[in-house]
Amino acid sequence: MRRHDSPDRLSLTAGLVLIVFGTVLLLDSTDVLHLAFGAMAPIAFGAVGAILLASGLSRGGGGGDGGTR
Amino acid sequence: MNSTPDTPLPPTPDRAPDPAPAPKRFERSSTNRLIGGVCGGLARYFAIDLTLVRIGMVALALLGGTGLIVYAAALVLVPADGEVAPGPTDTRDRAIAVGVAIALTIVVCVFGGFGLGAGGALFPIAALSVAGLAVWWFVSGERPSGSPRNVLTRAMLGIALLAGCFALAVGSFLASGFGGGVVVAALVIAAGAALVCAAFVGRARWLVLPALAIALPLAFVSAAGIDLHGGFGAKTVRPGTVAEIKPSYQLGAGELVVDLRDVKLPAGDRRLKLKIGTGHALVIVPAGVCVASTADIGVGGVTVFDRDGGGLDVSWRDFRRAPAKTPRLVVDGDVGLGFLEVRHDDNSVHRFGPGRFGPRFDGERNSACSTRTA
Repeated sequence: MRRHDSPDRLSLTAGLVLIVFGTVLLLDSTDVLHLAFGAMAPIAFGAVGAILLASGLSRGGGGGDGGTR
Repeated sequence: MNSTPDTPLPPTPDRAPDPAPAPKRFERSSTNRLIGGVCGGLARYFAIDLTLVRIGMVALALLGGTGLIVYAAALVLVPADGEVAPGPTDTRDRAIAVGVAIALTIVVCVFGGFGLGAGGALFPIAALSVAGLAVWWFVSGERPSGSPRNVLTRAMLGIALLAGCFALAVGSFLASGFGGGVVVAALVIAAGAALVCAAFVGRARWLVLPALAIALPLAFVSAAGIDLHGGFGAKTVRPGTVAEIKPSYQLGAGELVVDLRDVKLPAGDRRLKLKIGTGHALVIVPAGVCVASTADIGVGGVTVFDRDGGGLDVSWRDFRRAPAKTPRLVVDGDVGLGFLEVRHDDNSVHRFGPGRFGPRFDGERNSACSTRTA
């Protein structure tokens, strides 16, 4: 059984990013926001980039459980 | 203390002669690796700069996919440094892998044609396998190492996950296009909350890819303004009289052709609104009709006779004034992903077929208009 001394960095970062991204999408879907590609593309790429960055950092042994190598 | 030439060195009878250097062995590097350490192993074997090897591999990958095939083959066949010598099981696995690769190559070369060479035909297979490995690595944290059977198993699992995510993405696209964006966005938020909880009590990294698979299509549909209501397929409307012309036409996905060549439009303005989720809208107008046009297009382009434009977030405005006693058609297009086109004939520049690669404008002019206004 894995010990949980610290939270899994990738899961935590990805979860937070998805909550923020999903909220933006929800606001856009309910016409509170009107985001065209010029605004949506940086948000989407930023979300994916943050998740990939967290993935790379967690594999580097920096935090969390660092993967299952 | 330095010894003089006259002082002989003491004999060393117990010292064994230096053994012959071990032959160089090509192994994947476990220290210089981004994916499987193939480039690192090549750089070490040939004693050249690692960056040059990586650049060369990327260049080969872009030239018909050869680099991907070489990399995938090395991943399966070349052991990582420090790995034990292959035992009978490993040898059998590698023989199976080589046999499958050779059979696959023959099949693709024989039945796949040689349009781009064998590399071009094998590119999708190799790219899919590498993508599967990368996906599995991302999800499980397990690098693609071990026996060929393990590598192939991980590649298959990764491909299966990719296929599942593709199905989710298609479902998300359709649901968002039919107005279910709120539900999809709520699912994304729920997945994010589940990931946050899982970070403390367990681990659910596998949830990241499905969540992105439903979030990104929704983002695309929202940004492009794609509305899939109105049906799918090819739809041609050819009214015979002015009364038969509807003020607006809508299609979810496909091709919509509004052919007005049989209509004798009276002088004055006639408005025509076209709404396409994704696809192609073509308006064919008779000669002697001035056309003013506006369009909002998420991704795609507009062609109105000899003028065109395109890209992302296209806002097309082409205001024209007609001379007295001349009919003017005011086209208002709303296209999520696709093209809007206005012509005098059906030789579309955006439709696939003979006209697709023909002359771009072939003399089309909006010549019935008198002036163009801001």
